[in-house]
Amino acid sequence: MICMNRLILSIIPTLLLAACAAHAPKTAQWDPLTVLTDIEQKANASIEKQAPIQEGTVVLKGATVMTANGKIHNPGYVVFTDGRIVAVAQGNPEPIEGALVHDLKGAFITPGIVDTHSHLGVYPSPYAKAHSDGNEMTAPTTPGVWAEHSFWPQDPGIEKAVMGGVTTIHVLPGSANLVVGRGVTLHMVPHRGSRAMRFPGAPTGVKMACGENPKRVYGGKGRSPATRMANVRGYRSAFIKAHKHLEVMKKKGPDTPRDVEMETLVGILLGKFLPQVHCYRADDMLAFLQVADEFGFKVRSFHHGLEAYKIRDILAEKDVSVSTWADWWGFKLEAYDGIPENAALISKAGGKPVIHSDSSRGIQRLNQEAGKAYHSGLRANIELTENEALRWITYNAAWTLGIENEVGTLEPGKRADIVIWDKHPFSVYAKAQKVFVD
Amino acid sequence: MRFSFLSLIALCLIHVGTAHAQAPCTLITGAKVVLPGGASKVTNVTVAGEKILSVGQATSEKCERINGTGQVLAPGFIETQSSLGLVEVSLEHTSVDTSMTGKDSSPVPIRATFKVFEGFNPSSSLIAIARRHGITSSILLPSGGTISGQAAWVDLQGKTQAEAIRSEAIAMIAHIGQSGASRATSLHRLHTLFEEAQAFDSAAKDWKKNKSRPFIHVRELKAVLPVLQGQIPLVVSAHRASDIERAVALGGKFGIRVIISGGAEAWKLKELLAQKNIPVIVDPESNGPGSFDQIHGRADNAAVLEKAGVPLIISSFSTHNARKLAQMAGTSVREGLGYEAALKAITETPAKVFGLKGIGTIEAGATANIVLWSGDPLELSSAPTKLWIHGKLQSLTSRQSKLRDRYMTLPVKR
Repeated sequence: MICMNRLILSIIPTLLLAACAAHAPKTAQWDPLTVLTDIEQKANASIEKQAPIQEGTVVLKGATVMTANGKIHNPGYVVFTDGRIVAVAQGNPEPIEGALVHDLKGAFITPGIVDTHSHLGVYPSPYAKAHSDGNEMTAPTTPGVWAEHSFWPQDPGIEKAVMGGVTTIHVLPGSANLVVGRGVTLHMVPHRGSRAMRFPGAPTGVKMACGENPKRVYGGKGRSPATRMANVRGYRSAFIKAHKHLEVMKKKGPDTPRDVEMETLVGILLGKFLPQVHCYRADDMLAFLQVADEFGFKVRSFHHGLEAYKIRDILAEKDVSVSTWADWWGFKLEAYDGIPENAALISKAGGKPVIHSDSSRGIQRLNQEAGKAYHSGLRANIELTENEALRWITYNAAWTLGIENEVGTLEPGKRADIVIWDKHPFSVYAKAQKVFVD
Repeated sequence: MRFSFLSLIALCLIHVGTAHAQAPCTLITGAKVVLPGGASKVTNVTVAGEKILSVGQATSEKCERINGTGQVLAPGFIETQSSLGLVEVSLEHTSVDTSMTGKDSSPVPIRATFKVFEGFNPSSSLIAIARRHGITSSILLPSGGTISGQAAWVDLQGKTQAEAIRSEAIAMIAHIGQSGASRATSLHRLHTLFEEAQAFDSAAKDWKKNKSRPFIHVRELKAVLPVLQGQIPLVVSAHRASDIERAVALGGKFGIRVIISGGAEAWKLKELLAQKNIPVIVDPESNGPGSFDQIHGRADNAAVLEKAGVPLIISSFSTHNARKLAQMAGTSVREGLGYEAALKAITETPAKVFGLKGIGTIEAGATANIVLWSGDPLELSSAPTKLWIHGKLQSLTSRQSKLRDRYMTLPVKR
């Protein structure tokens, strides 16, 4: 409907209003998505330019090509031109004039790894109090903070992660708060500022947290939330406010008073921003899904969802991905029921497991972690394929971040984010030999 | 086949007195056996009672036979830097017993009398979880302070402390560097402690009379005497090269056997450490500047140290995830450590360095802490298929495997 379109704001409003007169409500409404998008465009404009793509044509051949899209070609090849994949197939490619050819006998080729949960840059190495910029522990609801404004681009962890085959990360603020703030998806091409590392077109994530952390942090200060029930009250009161703000946006359009907190929450209500929710226990996830239903938004992923296996049918049905570890558990009570077969069970139920790192160490070996989770599943007689397990660190992760049409599989048209491994990537001995971004 | 310890004893008793007394035994055939030194070959291993009776001999037909063809038989892995059985849930202080300072006591830096074994819980769910990944023994670490206390040695078996605890005091644990106190303060405390302990040792009678002198409590001095007398080593956690240098000097001054724990920058001192034969417990994940102490950490630390001749131990430096020990050894191989050296670093070397008598190798007379693996023990695709501790076949189920089984089928949704 053109009446709900941003063109209402254009220089010929009279004409359009006339055209729409038949359908227009008595008080004309603005499209809040348009209003928000305009704000975003100004706030997101980068001073630095994005990194240039690899120009020309590159051919990778002779290797086992694991596409993460169902097929494993052995031998297979991948061709990319000007940073985009143009061909992926079995056998050997026809010679291409002027192409740079890598003959990779014995090697394995996978899509670049995508990590949905990283604190690189916001908790950089070396650990330093002065650089601990991940948690705004001054109020339980801080949707106005953006992780990209804490991100220190000189974190040596970035390079280390690339050495482990990681090409895209989602950097989030911590989990001390109920609504913690915005996360940002970055392409792993180091720059002087985070803005130029933004993955082009990737939607904003919003980190929220369930369970022990918020109630421990604020309960410990004698403040709310001190209990799980107050956690839920906290989300609900935040979204009730956000709904009010949304109503104002509809009425006032660009004249809506700016609100740094509400603009983030409205982005969730409009489906523009993706909720990334830290939630360990199955019943905490169910409580959060209830909040999402009440306010009409969709959770994109539960992070650290160690108990997701207990409600994997529900998560699969609601199409919520689960970002989890291969084997972390027990460091707190809500992590006590974690099992190594979590990802495998979710996968088997038709859900979308993701192996994430949440660690500057783990991010360097996500291939091993996926391998562990895969083999744990096989040992428990859960039917799985290598392709499926590879998706836990590629396609499913890209989907979680809303960039699955750009990366996550080796397919023509996608960005050439590619890793060459010397051994099978699920082997403990495998090392990334070459990593391409664009 | 699984037989209980009691039935083993019963069988032993039956056979006692017969002319050709033969203990009940298990013969593992066809497996690739990891031998002392780390090399492997396909051979037979016979276990009788708690011990390995023979390696490489076909034995009596009376033995129960286990076909290990296509599998690998390795010594049980030894985790030297964990707190298995001392922690159930890290953030729940009522389930944490690693440190002298709980909620109700004030922190003191010298805790040499603190014996961590007292709090060991043989029923902890963490024990079976670690065992499922091939770990059969662990050094239990106290934490905190400049001297944290006395570490214990447990084998991961049994329902009682008596069955599991092999040594109540296998090492003394100390910290230099990032532990709250400044470096010089930590070192001052350590030097004072050992100087006074030496003085106390050489003149105990006079010492008792001299009540006016301010010194460290006699109980603490007594507790460190086994360190000064070389009976147990002092494990010093230190990452920065200069801290390691100080720890080596401390050991030299007092004639203490020092073991470096962590040692992210130990590679910088490889000649010194090799020359003084000072073992280093490496965390293969400390491969970068995680903290200011580890600015020069590198991925091939283990490989460099081993090549220089430094006794190398690999640890997961983890309690809940002690099970990643094999993965860490495998990761070190990826970074250039020899495969056999990596196996030794989680079996033979820790046993030797900590004086864990009878374990760490597969050879006649050794304690039968052994694990049959589905494949290469360091590879992610492998897992133990059978595991013996003191010759007794152990369960490979855990709280986690039971949880998995319980939720394998979901309740019908309403």
